[in-house]
Amino acid sequence: MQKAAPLTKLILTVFVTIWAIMLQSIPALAILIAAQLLILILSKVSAGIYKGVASLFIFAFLLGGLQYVFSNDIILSVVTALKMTAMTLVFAILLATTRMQDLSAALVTQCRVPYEYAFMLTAALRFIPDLLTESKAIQEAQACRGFSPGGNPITRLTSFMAIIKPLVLKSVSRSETMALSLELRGFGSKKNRTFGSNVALEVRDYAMLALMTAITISLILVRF
Amino acid sequence: MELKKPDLEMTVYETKKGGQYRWVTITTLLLAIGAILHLISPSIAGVTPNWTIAMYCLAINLTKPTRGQAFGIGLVAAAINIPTSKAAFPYGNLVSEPVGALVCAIIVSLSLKMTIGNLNLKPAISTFLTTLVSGMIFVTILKVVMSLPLSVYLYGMIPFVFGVGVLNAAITQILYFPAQKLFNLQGGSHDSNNN
Amino acid sequence: MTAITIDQFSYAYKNNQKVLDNINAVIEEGSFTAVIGPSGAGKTTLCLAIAGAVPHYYGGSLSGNVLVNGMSVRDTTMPDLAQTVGTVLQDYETQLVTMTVEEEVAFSLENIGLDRGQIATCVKEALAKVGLTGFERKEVSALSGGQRQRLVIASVLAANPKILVLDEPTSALDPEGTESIYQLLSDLNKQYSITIVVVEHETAKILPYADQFILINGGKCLQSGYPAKVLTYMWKHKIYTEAIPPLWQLKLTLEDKTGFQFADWKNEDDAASELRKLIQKEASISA
Repeated sequence: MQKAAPLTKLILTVFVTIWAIMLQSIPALAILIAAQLLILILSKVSAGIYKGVASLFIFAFLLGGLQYVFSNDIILSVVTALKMTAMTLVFAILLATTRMQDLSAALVTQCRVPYEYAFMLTAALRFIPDLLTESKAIQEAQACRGFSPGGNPITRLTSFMAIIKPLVLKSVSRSETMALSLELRGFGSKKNRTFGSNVALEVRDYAMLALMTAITISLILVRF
Repeated sequence: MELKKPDLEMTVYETKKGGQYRWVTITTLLLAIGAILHLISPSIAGVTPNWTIAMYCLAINLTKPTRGQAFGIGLVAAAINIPTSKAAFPYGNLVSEPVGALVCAIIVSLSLKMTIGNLNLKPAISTFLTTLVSGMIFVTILKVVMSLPLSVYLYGMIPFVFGVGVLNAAITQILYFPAQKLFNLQGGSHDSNNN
Repeated sequence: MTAITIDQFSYAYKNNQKVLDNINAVIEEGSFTAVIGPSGAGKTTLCLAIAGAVPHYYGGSLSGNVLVNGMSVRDTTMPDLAQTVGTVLQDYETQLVTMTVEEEVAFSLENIGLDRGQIATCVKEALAKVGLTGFERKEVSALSGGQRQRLVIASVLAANPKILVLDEPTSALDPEGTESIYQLLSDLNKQYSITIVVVEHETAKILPYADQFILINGGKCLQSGYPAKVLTYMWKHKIYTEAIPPLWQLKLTLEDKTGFQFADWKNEDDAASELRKLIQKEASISA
């Protein structure tokens, strides 16, 4: 799956979502999920991905449970849980097998997303680990000053705000440096932006797209 | 003072030409913060604030982007949650967040003053309505797509959306004033609205 | 050839007091210049003026001019200037905006629309210059402070600038990290004849590498030239003396007390070898 173009995988997420909405039977949905798990295994994704997948299953189970409590319809609840799993699993495939820079190149050059937005996405992901470290440092500093999480909900929220406020303010001031550095590096210059990644579709991709279309058409024919 | 040539000969570059990407950088960092808060936030009486919405509302209140830009910000906000948290239903977010961000940008751009005394309540009001719109769209899509029973929708989800809305409004309002002060100090946005 | 000419340059940020007041200085091509002075002296603003961020980003008012490779910063846009001057801002962490090392270096090249082949070549060369070959696929967030600083330098070098301006590049680094960054800059200066301009308030750190000091205080350029000349000036006029490296405080004190003239020590080894020779000479005379 790593070899498929990012665009192909983006389209796959749309198709899988459509299939999951159309399918109503438990076996059919189970096949869809099994097929996706098989793809994950064949793509030899890292172990961390499976942790995310496990939490998807738990969430789907909870949603099904919630529905069962309200409707007492076990079949419907299982279908809901399976649909949920099928729809989210495909995103795990997309993200586990695609590098973010290739995805961003595909979004901009093939899906015509303006570059600013693709930039925001990848840059935000780049800063998440740094901000997480920073937030831990602030949390520890607060703990040293005798801050303790607990008490009633209102005090809990206020004490949590004591962590968020410095984080937000520091980011506001950093955003100035970042905006300056973007301009120094020619961000948003009028010329057409290029990308270092090659995301062009190949024969393999066209074959996959044809297969996906065929599956969708046959599903429509079966249902109506 | 000693006699010096007057400063009249200094060329004045009155308009600040730079900073045109400030809305991009501030949104980027705030959305990143929103994503990590998802991971470390406590819940308040069983309801967790939706940090993503609170953060893009803060960004929109600060930078006052155009409607098109706000729509894009909403798309990015939805997309960031796919790899970082376990977004339960990505395509639902990809519809609800852009609409929410658009609502927020429209309220922010209204010339209508929303104040009590000297207190500008626009951040809280825009965030509350944004959370409501975005949340309602999301749970409605979820209901339809998952064919959830009406009772789950009416008694489980809608009250939850209101609760999150109130929390979000409080958070954005509290963060807005110090953030805005700092933002204006650094030259602020291209148009400095005096609200 | 002069790389940068600062000609009667004054500048004030919007609605603010003058930060730079009638600065005159010349930076020769291929030199390694350190801008020194106490904090708030206007060092960063001077850097920003060379990069064109003053006045193009910050607005404000100015008189005089800064010429970079003959181009006036008044009439040249920031991205155009960036082809000649690479700038590393003080908060360099914030300059890193992509997920992986190779994307970071490619970023500015992609922005100006180079084709894929050229980008790959430039990225490879730039990473080699800073010693980060093999780190292409690494995530930026997994790098150490020193590696991040190298990456920022590589991302600026990718555009092949003739001049490199760095604002306090080592303020967040430990002593070893600092030394290795300055060694790197010194190598870039010698091997590729890139003109280097560094803002540094810790004069001792930069003394072994710089061939010119520009002393700024209160927005005025008090002295520029050989480090020895500037340090002696600071000593004689009691200006910002706390920044004179301990070694030089010793040298200048000894000169004052003994009437000897020592060589321009760049580090402790220089001092030790000269003093040793001197002692041997004294000993042979008295013997």
